[in-house]
This record gives sequence, structure tokens and C-alpha cells, in this order.
Amino acid sequence: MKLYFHFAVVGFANTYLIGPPDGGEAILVDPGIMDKELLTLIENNRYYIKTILVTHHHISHVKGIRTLKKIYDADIYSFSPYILDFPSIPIKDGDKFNAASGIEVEVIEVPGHSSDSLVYHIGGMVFTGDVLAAGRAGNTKNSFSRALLLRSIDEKLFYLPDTTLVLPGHGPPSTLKAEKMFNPDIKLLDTSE
Amino acid sequence: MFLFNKCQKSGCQLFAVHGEDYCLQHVDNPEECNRRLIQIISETKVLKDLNSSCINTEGADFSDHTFMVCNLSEGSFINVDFSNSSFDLCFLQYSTFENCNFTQTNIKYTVFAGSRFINCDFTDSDIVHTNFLGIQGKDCVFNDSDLYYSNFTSSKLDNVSFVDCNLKKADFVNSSRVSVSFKYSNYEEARFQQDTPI
Repeated sequence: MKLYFHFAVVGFANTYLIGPPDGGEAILVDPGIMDKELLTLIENNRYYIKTILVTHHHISHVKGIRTLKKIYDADIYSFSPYILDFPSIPIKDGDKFNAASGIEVEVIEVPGHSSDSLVYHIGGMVFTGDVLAAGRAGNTKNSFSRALLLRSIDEKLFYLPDTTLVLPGHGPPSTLKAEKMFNPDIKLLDTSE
Repeated sequence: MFLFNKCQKSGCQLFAVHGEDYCLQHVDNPEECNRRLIQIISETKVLKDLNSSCINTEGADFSDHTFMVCNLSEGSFINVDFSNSSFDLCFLQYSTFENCNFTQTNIKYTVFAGSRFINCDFTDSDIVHTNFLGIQGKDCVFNDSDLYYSNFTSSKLDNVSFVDCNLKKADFVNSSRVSVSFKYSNYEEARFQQDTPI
């Protein structure tokens, strides 16, 4: 399995491309924009996008789907049955399915930033969208959502191995060990218990 | 790009080092493996998908190299020359860097979390989207560098210079800063308080 990264200048969001080492059917996580650079990345590595994983519905994470669907006959997976008016396969916490090229995806529901926030666990990586970024938990609208988010991160993500790579929707990558040790939002959770 | 091969040792969560089925801790001859990995890095200018976690090296010349999706985490690098090199989606967390030269490097989407930097020079580098969470930096220089979206949260910085740097979206929340200079840098666009949205 190989991982590629693309930075969308619109919305400052990260898009991830995952596929077999020698090309074939591939996965896109959060296509915030579909631009020439992303198309080049896909085509030069001989990939065909068969699966689009959406962490949540915010526009900076899904805007590229309109263009992508004109090029690739890809299945969209998200919490909601529709993303930008495109039908999506609804998934929920605990679901496991084989995406493009048989790559196994585990779904982890982590509400708080938005009601439809999902994290995708693939291999030794978690694609966290806006749930968890390097050094910070996601933004929330109120203290209840904040508490829900922090508790969900603790209960549903931190049981994974420390070496798990955190690939967020915004900002640099991280590891679960680094987040446990240095993320001040997570330390708030420790002191509140 | 990244090829994920876990160490075959039961219960080990580390990735197998290049050319082996085990991590550096579990190969038959760790010293020989360490020497082989350093030789590979020294002789190969463009490195892709290389896992050389836990290596120890002193005085190596890794200048003018390209590291793409490489894992050099938990290593020890003393007097190593990384100048003019580029790092793309690399993992160097929990490592020690002493007297290392990172001048004119191009680092993006890379993780240095929990590492220790002593007397390291990053002058005139592009260091974007890079994770410096919880690092300990002493006597280091980042002058004339682009640090867009790089994250120094919970770091301990002592006598570190960020003169004339681009700090847009850079993050220094919960960091301890002693004798840190941001002269001529746009520190107004960086984040220093936890409740400030980026």
C-alpha cells in the first residue's frame, strides 16, 4: 500500500491518495479540491479512483467531488447518504469494508466537530479529518461538543497503537504517541478526570 | 508514498527496516544493519520508502539528498550534514540531532515530534507543514526560513532564533520560549494561545 499527500490551497485542506504500489484502483480521502496537481498525481501513478472517503461534509473536504465524479466512477462513503447531492454509501461506527483494491477500511465515529465526523483506520494510519490535528483537537461550537469530542478521541482513537500515524484534514501529520504526549487539548482531558 | 511492512517479531509495532523482515531492534545483527543502512543513505541521493528507524550515525554526509516518505524516527544524528536536502512526508520523531546542518533544506509534511535539537542550523530553509510537537530545541537557528503551517506546540525552546521567518499559521501554543527571537518575522500570523483558531 502506498500513500500520497496533496495540499488543497482552497480551504488549506489535505487530501490523501492510497493505492497499491504498482497502480490500479485507489482511494481518495477528503478531496477538498480537484486540481491539475491532484489529477497528475493520480494519473502518473496509474491509479483509477474507485473509492472516495469523506470524513465530514464541510466544503473544504468535499468540494473536489463534483469534478472527480466527472472523471472517475467512484463510490462515495460517508456518514450521510448524500454528499453535494451525490448519493453516498452511508457508514457508521464499527463498520469494516473492503475499498478499492481490497484495502480494508475501519470506520470510527468521533462526533463533536460535526455530527457526521468519521475517522478512517487503514493499516497503521488514521485519517482524522477535523477531529484531531497535530497539537490540537478539532474546533467545536460549544462546551458540550468539546467534551464529547475529547471523550470520543480518548475512547475511540487512543486505544490504537502509539505508532499509528495521524493524517489530519489540516496541518502536518502526527502520531498517536505524539498527540498523547504533547497535545494540550488532550492534556485538558487528563486534568478534567 | 509509503510501503508498510511491520516487524515480524510477535507483538512489535515498529516497521521492518529496509531489506529486513524485522525492525532494527529485532534483526540478528543490529550493528551491521545500522552500518548498512547508513551506507545506503550516504550512497543514494534519492531515497523513497526507506525505513531506517532507530539508526545511530555520527559525522555522516546526507547533504543534497531527497528523502521521500522515509522513516528515520528514534535515531541519533550527531554532526550530520543534511544541507540542501529535501524531506517529503518523512518521519523523524523522537530522534536526537546534535550539531546538525539543515541549511537550505526543503522540508514538508514531515514529523519531528518529541525530538531533541542541540546546536542545529536550519537557516534559509523551507519548512512547511512540519510537526515539531514537544521538541526540545537549544541553540538552534531557523533564520530566513519559511515555516508556514509548521507546529511547535508544547515545545521547549532555549536560545532559538526565528529571525525574518514566515510564521503564517505556525503554531507555538503551550511552548516554553527562553531567549527566542522573532525579529522581522510575522509572528502576528502565528498562533500562541490555545483558543485562537487557525
